[in-house]
Amino acid sequence: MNTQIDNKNVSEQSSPIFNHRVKLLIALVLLVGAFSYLGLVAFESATVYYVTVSELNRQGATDNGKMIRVNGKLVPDSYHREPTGIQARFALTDGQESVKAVYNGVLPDLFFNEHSEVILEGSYNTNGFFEAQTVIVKCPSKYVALNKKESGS
Amino acid sequence: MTTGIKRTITQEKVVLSSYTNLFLLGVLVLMVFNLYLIFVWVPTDQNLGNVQRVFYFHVPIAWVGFLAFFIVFIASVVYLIRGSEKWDALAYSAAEIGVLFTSLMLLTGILWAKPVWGVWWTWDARLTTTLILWFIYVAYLMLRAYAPRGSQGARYSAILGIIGFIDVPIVYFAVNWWRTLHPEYVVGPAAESGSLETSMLVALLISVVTFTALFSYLLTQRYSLRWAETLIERLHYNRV
Repeated sequence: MNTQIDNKNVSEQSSPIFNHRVKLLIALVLLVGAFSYLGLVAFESATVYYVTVSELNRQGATDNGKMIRVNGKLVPDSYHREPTGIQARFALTDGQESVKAVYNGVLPDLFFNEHSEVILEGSYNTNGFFEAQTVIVKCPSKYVALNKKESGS
Repeated sequence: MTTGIKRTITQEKVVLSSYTNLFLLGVLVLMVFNLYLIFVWVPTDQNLGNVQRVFYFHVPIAWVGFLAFFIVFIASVVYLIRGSEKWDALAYSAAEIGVLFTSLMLLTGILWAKPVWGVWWTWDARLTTTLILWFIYVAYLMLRAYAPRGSQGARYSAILGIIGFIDVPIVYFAVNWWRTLHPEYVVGPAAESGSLETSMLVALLISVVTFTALFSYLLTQRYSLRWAETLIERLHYNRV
């Protein structure tokens, strides 16, 4: 142990460049390590960015306080808001199954567009309601000119 | 005799600078034409409305960012093999412009996300990998700033520039590999036919050409500046 330390000191004194190089290498390793860690942690949640409605129903209620994202289309005519409250109630479907959801707050403009997919961020309660904290709209993957719709229909 | 040589050099310089000025003028004309196409000529999107016009900036800017990092990758590989400082200067210049365009890609994305998705930012695969890409090349610039001048620092940076490029295809294929908020491809070989109107495709392609031209201008300018810096440094060290 002691001899190792002595060797290190000797080498540091004899070549200051080595010292510099070691520092740089440590910095490089730390940087790469930090980024990989950031990437891995982010990816654990990002790879399963959302589940479908069917997958959500199969999973059942989420653990207390655990956040989950669910993706689906708004069930037509399912949306209603209490005249005195700010709570919105609606249902999402993936074409096979559906889930009821509640949300307090302002909805994005494209929420009601028939082509939009909606992603809810929140928790799935044991009473069968998805309590959304955030509503995100996944934009349609097709861009269509405005005038085409007018001439087409 | 000497005056004759001097005159030739000056004439050459004038010719050179007039070429770059002509290039700049061409880029500027293209940019104005591009703005006209984006804001006047191309039709408004049926679902997203006017905000969809961000698309004609966001996508070409992203393309330029990828292209810049590809040049960093190639120039770094050649530098490690050949050891010529010119390749290192090219890698550095491309990295600087790449970071600029990646920052612009993130910013235009954030501005577009709020009105369409309803959030400024979310941790989906493409956004996360893009942020990592930005960090990698910011780290590259920091390494250039702090590492010792000369071949050693350049070698470390070249390695980071090469490894960092791995993230570029990951960013591109993220929408294919994972569930993300970004739409599937609307252009390119993997795109579904009919996912982009012809007029929109034309506007996008012209915008890509415009931004690529702007990038080439910036890169040539930054490269010659970086090369001049290297030469001055060399002179300085020779005197000391």
